[in-house]
Amino acid sequence: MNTLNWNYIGAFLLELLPIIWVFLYSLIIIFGLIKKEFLIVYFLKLNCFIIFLLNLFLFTRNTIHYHTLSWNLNISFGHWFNVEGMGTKLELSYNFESFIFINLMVFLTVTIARFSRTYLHKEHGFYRFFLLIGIFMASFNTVVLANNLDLVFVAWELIGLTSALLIAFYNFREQTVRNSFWAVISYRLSDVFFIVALAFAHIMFHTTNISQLVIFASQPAFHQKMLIFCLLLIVGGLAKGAQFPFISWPMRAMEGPTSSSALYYGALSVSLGPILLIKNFLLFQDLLMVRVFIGAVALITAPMALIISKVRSDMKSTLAYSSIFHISIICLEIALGLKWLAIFHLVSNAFIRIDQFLSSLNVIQDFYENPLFFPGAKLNISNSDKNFQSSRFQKKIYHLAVNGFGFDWFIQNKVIGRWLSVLYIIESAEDKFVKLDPMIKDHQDENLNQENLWNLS
Amino acid sequence: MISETSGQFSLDSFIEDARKFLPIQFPLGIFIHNNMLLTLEHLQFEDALNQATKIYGAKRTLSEKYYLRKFKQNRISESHLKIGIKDWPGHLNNAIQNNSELHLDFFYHLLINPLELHLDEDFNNIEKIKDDEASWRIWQQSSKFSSSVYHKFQKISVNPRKIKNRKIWKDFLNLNYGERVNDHFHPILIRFLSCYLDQGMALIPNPNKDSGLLKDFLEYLYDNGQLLPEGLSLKKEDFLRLYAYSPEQFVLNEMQAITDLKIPLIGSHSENQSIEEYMRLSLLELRGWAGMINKFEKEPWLVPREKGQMSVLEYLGIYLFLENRTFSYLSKKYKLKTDWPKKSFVSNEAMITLSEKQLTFIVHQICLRYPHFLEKEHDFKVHMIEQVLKFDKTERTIIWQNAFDLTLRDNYLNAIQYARVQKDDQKETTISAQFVFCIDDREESIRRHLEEINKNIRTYSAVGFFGIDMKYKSIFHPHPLNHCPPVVTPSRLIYEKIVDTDKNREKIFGQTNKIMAEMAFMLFYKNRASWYSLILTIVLAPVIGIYLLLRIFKPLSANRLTQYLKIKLMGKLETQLELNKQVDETGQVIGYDFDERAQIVSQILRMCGIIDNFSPFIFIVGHSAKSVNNPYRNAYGCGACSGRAGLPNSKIFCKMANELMVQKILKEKYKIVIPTGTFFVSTCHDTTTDRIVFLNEDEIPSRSLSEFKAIKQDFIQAARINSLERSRIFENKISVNDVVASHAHVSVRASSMAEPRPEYGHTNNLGCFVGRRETIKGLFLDRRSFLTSYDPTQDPSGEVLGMLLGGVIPVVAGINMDYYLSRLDNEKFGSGTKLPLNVTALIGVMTGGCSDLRIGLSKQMVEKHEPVRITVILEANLEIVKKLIVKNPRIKNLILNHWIHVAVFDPAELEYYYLFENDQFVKKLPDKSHAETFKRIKGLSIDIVKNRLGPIPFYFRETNINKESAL
Repeated sequence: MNTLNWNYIGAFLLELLPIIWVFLYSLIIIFGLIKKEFLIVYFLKLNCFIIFLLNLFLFTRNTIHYHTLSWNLNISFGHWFNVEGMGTKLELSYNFESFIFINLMVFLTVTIARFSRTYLHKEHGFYRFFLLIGIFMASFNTVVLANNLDLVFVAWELIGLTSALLIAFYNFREQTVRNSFWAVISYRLSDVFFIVALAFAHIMFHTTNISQLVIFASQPAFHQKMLIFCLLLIVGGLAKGAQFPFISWPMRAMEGPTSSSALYYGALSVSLGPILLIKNFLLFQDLLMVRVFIGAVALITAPMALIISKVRSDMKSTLAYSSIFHISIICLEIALGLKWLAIFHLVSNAFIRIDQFLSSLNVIQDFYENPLFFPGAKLNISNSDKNFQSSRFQKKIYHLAVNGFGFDWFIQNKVIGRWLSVLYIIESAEDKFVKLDPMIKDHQDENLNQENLWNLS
Repeated sequence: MISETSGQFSLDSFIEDARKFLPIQFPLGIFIHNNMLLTLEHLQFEDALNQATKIYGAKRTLSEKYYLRKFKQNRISESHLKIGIKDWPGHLNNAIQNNSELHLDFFYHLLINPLELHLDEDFNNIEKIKDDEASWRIWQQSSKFSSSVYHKFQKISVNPRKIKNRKIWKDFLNLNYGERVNDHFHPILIRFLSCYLDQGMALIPNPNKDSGLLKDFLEYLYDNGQLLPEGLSLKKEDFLRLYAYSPEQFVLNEMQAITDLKIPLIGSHSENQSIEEYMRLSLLELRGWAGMINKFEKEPWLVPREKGQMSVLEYLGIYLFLENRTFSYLSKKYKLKTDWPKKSFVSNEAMITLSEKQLTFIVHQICLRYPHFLEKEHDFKVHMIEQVLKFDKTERTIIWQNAFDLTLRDNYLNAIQYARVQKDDQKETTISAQFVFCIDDREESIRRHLEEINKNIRTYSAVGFFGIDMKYKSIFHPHPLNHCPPVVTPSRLIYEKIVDTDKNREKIFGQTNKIMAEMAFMLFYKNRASWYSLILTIVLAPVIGIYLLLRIFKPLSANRLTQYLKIKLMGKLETQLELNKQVDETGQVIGYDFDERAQIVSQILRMCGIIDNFSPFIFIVGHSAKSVNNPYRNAYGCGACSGRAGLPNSKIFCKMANELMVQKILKEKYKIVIPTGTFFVSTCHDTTTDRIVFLNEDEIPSRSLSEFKAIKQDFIQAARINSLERSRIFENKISVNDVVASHAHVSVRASSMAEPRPEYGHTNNLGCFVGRRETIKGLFLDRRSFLTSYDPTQDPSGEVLGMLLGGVIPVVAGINMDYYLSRLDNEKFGSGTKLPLNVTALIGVMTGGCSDLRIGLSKQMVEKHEPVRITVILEANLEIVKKLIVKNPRIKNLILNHWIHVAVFDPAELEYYYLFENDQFVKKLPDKSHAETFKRIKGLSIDIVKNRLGPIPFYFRETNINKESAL
């Protein structure tokens, strides 16, 4: 750390730049320094451009230096906190995969920013949108670069937060806000497993740095513990990619503007599951059970997502579930060890899904202008040309798929419902012990109407 | 309906009655502007709006801030406000007649500076009051007075307008337990409905489309077993029992269940707990879906591809079933059996408690504005306080809205009246070209620019389908589409066929067309989740990725590339229209024979008044609108062609009019002599990009080619200036003063997929003028008026006027009401913002993943619209107009019930006009003061609009025409 190490500075800047951008942007908005919309977008694009250049610089420098593509930089910044040996070390890791993912993020963010410049014009919440995109960029960047799983978890949570806030973008609609809770609940349920995994790692391995965990993974004595750790971690990463059993929240998550739905549920946020797996690939490369587990989850999710996507008749749900289908196939590819195919697939899926999301409102024109679409037309889709009666079993599967296999109700009734009833018992007990002031109760009754019924103002 | 005497409930009549309140909407592929409250047109406008807002839970007016802002901009006149206050029922009491002027003034000031009353316990403004000596003294006096009368005002009743019918049990559960009842079962229902009504969006179609809505729904619930919200699962015996019911039995069963479960119904104040009102509310909870089901049931020919069995009755049954089940589950969960509170809910008891401090504040404010208030008689003081309490925001905003409506109406009427009395001293020049546009208000500006650029051009307008009531089939689309107004049934089919000089090319074209269509579908269905998509994704990603980047960053280039590729693949083909009359195998009549052609041409020429003054070129201009990523695309198209482009109509009309045989019949039968040098040019004006397409340029005789080129340049230049005038509304500073920049800008807007506002459509429409162009030549109407050419001197019997009115008035009223209601409350009558919209089932849009099907227009289309009712001005004789109104029932309803304003300007009586007010046509003399202050401007339209944002008043442009006032 004494010598001026370009890698050190480059990676440091690469990690910190989006975070600095968020702070600068907040200052700009608080003090009203920039009021023009297109300047804000240029500011974001400038940020992306600098990140791109940095990324290119780091990558080419290292590739030329090592004459190969399979290098790996580990850059340490010291400890976050360290109490009697238990602590978190801040470390970044940079390699070819990081290069790809950061480039993907930059390209897609610039596209969405340009799209949103005119799309969100005059919307109440224009600045809020770009703030959330900025936080997302910073968090995604951290997830990709961080070598330390604690740091990954912080960024992971932030992404979940921005995702929920972007779903609830139109917060004047109560239905929208309640739908955003579904995403939050799913994220939280799997975050529990993530935290347990981290705690487990701290206790068993005294570290959560991936590069050090890899050393543990290669020692047969730790195979059992590594197995448990990996399983917990993978369950922690399931909700982002909407894999089984967290398969029902995308149906309710399409409440935000199209550009944010495209970026999150088409391309980047759903890809976080595979990205986590790719980062930790060396940990479970030799653990057959883990790979079987990933494969099993993928093989359960894939047909479910496939059928739901084929059955849903609103555009955004169809696209969200086809994205999830691809994500599950990507996870399957990772389980089979085909890492580079998985990465290629991931990038392709991102681009195609974003394209389909952004032009989703054009569907009506596309259909009506198509010569094959007219009253009574038999489109060449399953079962409509052939005149056969579907069997009872097929109809049952159809009806189940229309309902999204009911996982949101399952979670609501069996999982959350139990907790809620506990809370209700506590609340009703409180009512018995604490008598409410009658005047306050009257006031409550009068305000039963949401709006102020009568005022002279 | 249940009648007290007979006690006989008829489900059929209930459903028929409830249908009236379902919103009228068309599937999005054939979107047509229409009055959403079409079925309520038999009521007076105010009553219909009151009823609809009550039932839909919508706002009745815009916000008070909006009106105050408009008042500052001089868009609302003081006189109309004062008239509004005078007409307000709570205004005057017989007891205080002698103070009427003071009274009026007082309420007028209360309107302009509304009272700010805070309902919090601690007032901040008491501190401010304490500072001022005089004010504090008045406060103390008011306090003394208010404590003496406080007992009278302790509880005051709420404005009945604010009471919306609601279901009290849902409100109660929401507010006391946080339980959103609708969220419990709406997702289940909406997911089912969107798959049942699907027209081809989903790869796997519904296998049960013919078994009926109800039966499929029961199967759906049963198949899902326990994976449903609690309380909705069906056991096998229940399922089999319910499956056997007919829809009527099912609904009656559910009605019985409502009574058995003792569900507290709705009702306002102490009225009867009406089960019909409850069921009607249930039907209207998801009014978008119910309205679409109603549409498909009643008009199955509108279904885009295939319709399943469905009816509103079944839908009602399903909804009641779900509600009842949810009710029984929730009441068990919260242990609420029969002791539902009967306390003061929204709709039942509408009383507000006032505190003494608040009353003192009111009295204090009254004293400040009404001198010597405290010295008046006791009864007077009490009465005044009552009135001020009644003069709440709702009442005030209604007065504002009415005044707004009438002010803009009067502005328009005065402008027309002013213009028509100006004498035209200009010598008659030779007319070098005549242009026939559509009546659309967007064409009003381009007509002005054209007339200013070339003084020898005359413009007219006729309804955009030019009399050709046809189904049109192009070579790209095998299915014929209506190209005439929605109220007209097309009588012919006209198709485009390829000139068969090269059979090979025709075959290649057909094949390419088919292959491309199939590939488009394959890409649509297979490039999502399917096993093919695994390969397709990886293979196509680079291409699609680059194309996406191109479309977002350089939309114009991407568009041009697409067009170029299309032409390269399909090849340019020569096409011909099949116009010869024949009857095909299915009995469909194709084409027109010569007599019919002559009749169509003569009708349009006669309506415009082009019968003996032909110029060398007559341009027939249809219009279209191009936009990308816009589910409301058809709303921007030509309404007279059912939302499609007027291009084929223009082409066909010109072909007919240019034919020698037709011209011969015109001469012999209709006495219209078209000189040999006259040529009908077919064009189309794209209102979004302001580009003109010339469709039969190659048929122009070579001797007139040079003159044609000059006029063509004038037309193109007029379109460019038009784009500058339009760019004002886009708030884009660069394009407001530069013609070239604005023309480029609007092209980019139309091609960009990221642009939710490609154009603003019929925003700010407020008038329709049916009369001669010479009458209003010189007026700058700011693109707010529809214009229809009609020559009353050529139509003594009123026959032509009758035809015109039947076509024009319903269209114009529909457009105006659509914009009005969507602007009034964009969440309840409109679609909300376009951004989270999600195309569903290829027939409509939802907000997000599962919500009600949205109705009306989106916020991005109506945000700049000033909501007023349209004023139709007819330049004709009053008696003729009266006779025509009586003949057409729809027009009669619209006029007598005040859905539109109507005025008659008789060309023989220039000093006054007749306005339909209250119940009859009243003679109105023009406002003398207005005539003096009406702005005359020297200059062209471009000078008026350059660099100017916001609404522009109507001006009279003095161009080189020497017009002096005749009065």
